[in-house]
Amino acid sequence: MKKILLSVRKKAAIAVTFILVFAFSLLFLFPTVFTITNSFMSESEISANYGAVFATGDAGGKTYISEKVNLKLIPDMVTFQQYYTVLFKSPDYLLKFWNAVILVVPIVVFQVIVACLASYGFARYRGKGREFLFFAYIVLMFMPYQVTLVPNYLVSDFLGILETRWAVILPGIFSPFAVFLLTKSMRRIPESIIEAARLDGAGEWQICTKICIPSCRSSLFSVVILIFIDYWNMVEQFLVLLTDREKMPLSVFLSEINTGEISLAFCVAVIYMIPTLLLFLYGEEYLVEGISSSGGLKD
Amino acid sequence: MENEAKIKNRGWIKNAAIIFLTVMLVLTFFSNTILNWSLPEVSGQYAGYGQIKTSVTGTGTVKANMNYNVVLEETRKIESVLVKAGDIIVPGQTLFTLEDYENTELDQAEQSLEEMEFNYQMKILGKTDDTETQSNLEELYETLKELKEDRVEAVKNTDLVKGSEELVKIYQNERDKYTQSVSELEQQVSELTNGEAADSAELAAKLEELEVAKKNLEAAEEILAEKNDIYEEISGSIDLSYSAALSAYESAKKAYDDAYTELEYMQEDYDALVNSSESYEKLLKKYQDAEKELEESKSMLEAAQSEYESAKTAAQNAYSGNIDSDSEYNKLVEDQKIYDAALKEYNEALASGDPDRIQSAKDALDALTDYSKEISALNAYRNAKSAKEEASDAVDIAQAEFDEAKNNLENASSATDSEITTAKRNLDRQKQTVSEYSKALAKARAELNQATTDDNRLKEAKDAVTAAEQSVKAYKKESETIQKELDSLLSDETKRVNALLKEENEKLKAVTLKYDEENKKLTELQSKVTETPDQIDEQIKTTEKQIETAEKEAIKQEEQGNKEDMIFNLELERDLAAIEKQREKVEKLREKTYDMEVVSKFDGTIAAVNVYSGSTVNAGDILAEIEIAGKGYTLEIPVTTEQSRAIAVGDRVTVDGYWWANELKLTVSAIKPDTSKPNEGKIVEIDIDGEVTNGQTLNVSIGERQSSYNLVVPNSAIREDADGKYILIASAKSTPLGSRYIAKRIPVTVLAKDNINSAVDAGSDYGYEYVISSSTAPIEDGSQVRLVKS
Repeated sequence: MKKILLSVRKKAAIAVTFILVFAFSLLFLFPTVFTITNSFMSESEISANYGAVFATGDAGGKTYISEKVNLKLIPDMVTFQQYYTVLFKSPDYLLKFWNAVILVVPIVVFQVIVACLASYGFARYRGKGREFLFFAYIVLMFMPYQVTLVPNYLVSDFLGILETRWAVILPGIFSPFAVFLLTKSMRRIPESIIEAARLDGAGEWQICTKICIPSCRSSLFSVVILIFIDYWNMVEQFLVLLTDREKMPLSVFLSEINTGEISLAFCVAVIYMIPTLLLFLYGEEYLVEGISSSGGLKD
Repeated sequence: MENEAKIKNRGWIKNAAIIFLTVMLVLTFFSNTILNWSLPEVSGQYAGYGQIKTSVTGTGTVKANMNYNVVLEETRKIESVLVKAGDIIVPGQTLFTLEDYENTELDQAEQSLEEMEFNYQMKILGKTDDTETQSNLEELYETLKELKEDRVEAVKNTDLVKGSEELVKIYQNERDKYTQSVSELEQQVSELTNGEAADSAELAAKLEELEVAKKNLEAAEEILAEKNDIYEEISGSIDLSYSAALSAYESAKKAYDDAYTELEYMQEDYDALVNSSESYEKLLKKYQDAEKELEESKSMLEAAQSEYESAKTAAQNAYSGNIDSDSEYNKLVEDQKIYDAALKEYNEALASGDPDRIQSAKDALDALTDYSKEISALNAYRNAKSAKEEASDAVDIAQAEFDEAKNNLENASSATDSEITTAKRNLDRQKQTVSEYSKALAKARAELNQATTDDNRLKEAKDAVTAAEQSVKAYKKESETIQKELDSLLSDETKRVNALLKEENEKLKAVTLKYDEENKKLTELQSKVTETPDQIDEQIKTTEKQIETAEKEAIKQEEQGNKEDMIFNLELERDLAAIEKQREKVEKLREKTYDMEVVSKFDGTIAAVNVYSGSTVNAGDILAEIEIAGKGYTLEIPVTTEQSRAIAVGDRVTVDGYWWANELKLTVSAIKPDTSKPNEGKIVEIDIDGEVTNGQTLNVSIGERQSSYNLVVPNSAIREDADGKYILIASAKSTPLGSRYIAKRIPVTVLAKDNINSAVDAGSDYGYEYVISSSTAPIEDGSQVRLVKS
């Protein structure tokens, strides 16, 4: 009897858990699916469904067909008109896409390089104040970007790189998050391996590049993915440090959706998420492994 | 397996990422081009406050101010209508043609007039008592009439006769002229046939030339005869011919030459005999000398040979190398020079006393070898060798001379004294023979000279004869040529004259024919003329006198008449007055009769035609209405009510697009309601002062007033469709990708317009946006456009 009760409870728990998980997963998935499906709707349909949301006082007294928002997942008529408009008739979007690539790729690359070297130092240095130094470096990670925005602006102005892409790239290169992740990962490397390498005559550089960094590959991939995602979606730095609209990435324009082309916004969002998605798919297991290793979890 | 799946997965993702980025890159490059390629580019401006200079424009047709109605005063039938409404006519232009008709009234009146005149005449004729006098008078009248006719005929015939006589005279003169011309030409032909030059200068010159040539020929022939005589004379005087003399001379010469040659041979033999005895001794001596020379040279050769052998041995002993090698010898000489120089240096060093120098010189010297002995031995050998060779050559030469002397000696022989004497005797004999032949030769030479001289004379005479013959031939040829030319000229001249003669003959023939005809005609005319006009005039005068007498007689008889005659006269007067009245009536009736055509009296335009072909028109009916030109013109244009408010009577009007617009003066004379559109428009009447034509179309503009308006746009911005006028504005739509411009329709009403801008009323739809005035492609409401880059 007890056994039967236990199995029922177990099953019920499993079911409830499943339902909850399913519900939450739906909730998480819904915006993405919604975005993708709505990108295949025509402009008139989108305007009819969502126009009232973006109505402003300058609409000239017009009233939309639907006064309330009508969330639709299945288009009345599937059309690629918006994709055509975005990809073939709107070069601005494509230029903004490449602006984002030009800004984010250097940040990722240089941040990884700096993080590797810094984390090696933090992992191997046994001197005094190591922890304090590490803490001081990491505490910045907890600060919101707005706290460091003004100093960044002033320093950029001082260096004369304001209004240039370097004003965004340079602060990004020295982000502490990557250092934190990689340091944790490197500290898990057994000392004996390092000693053995030293005994074999390897120098610090060789130990770093040939032993430590390959060992932290998973953490490295996770760092790359997380940094890419972070900066690919960034908006504030570009708005503050870059005033030239021509240098703005696409994330800035996606944040300015208005009564203009809502349908184009869906289409742009779909295209904008593709690089992130591909990167994630490519390094998915590394990401999981990296985060878990940095959290100290053992496989 | 799992790893392989993971690797495969990553490979797929990597490829997808590469493809994605590649597509984005390609689209980045070409999307702007595609966009620009597809969107129409528009330009325009923002509408705003402005001013418009308005003028009301319109088009109208010029009309004349005065009209005329074409009317007939009697009933007629229209045969054809030649004009229509709108035709421009000129005075005298036929408008209508009328059918012909019978005017009975006129006919009746003419008929009654004839009857009245006839009765009157009959009355006069019926009243006469003296029929004889009357008939006499009639006869006289008749005679007078005939005489007058005869006179006319006589005058005519007389004129014809005169004309004919003149023509006959002219033809006769011409005939005589041509006859004389023909006879002259015939004479010329006969002269030419006889070879006479006649009047031709060319022919005369040619004849003279021929005479000269003939004279020259005669002279040349005389010269030829003379030369022939001389030649005959010379030919007869020659005794011995040149050929015979030459032959004798040649024989004598040959004999002499042979004898002389024989003499020379004999002389040579004699000399040879004498010489041969002298030369043998010389050759012997020469032989002996050569033998001695040979022996001496041989002994010298032996000495040189022994000297050579010893020098060779010494040289071989002194030098181990090749004693015959020039290169080794030269090297030794060079080395020796070096050694000598070192030795000299050494000696100088010794002289200087410098131990270092001495030592170095000594070392240098020690390093070298003294080849002086070898060199001297080699020199001795070489000298001995050359001496030997010279001695050998001398021996060879002496041997050759000896052999030659020996040979000469063997060949020589000596002659005896008897042989020499015999040779001398023969020689003398031969000399004498030669002398005799020499004399014979001289004689033959003399004869030959003479024969040569005679022969030359004969040749000269022959040449002279030949020259004279050639001269005669040339002159003969020349005279023949001249004769031919003369014959040719005569022939041509004869042909020419014959042609002229033929022409003249034909002319003579024609003139003679004309003369004969005219003569015949004259004869006929003369036969017709029986009486002259003067004679007939005399007869007419006589007859008129007779008529006058007869009329006086008749009047006298009439005056002597009774009362019935007076009454009769009064009746006659009455009848005559009635006849006069009737005549006037007929004249009036004739004046009233119309032509077959109705013509225009004025310049103008046909406004309306009220009849048609075949229709009958009564008196007083209007056939057509004419707008008379030159009485002023009016122009009417329709305008809207709104536009009429901008116009006032008296406004000056300008003509557009008319070349002579400056010469016209147009003024608004009236603004009246448009009956066809009572509440929508009005008619503006404009007076025209100037040269225009009825029916002409003019484009006019009235007034120019400047007004201010809130919205002024370019004329090109205003479009029109079935729903009315509208403008397109570029409505900006901001998107995540940037602003996009959509053309939006705004209906407008045009308030005023000039050549550039228009003032419009856009209502509440327009918010002072960007008005599109032009585009690179047709656009409509809702089209996406791109603004032209400034």
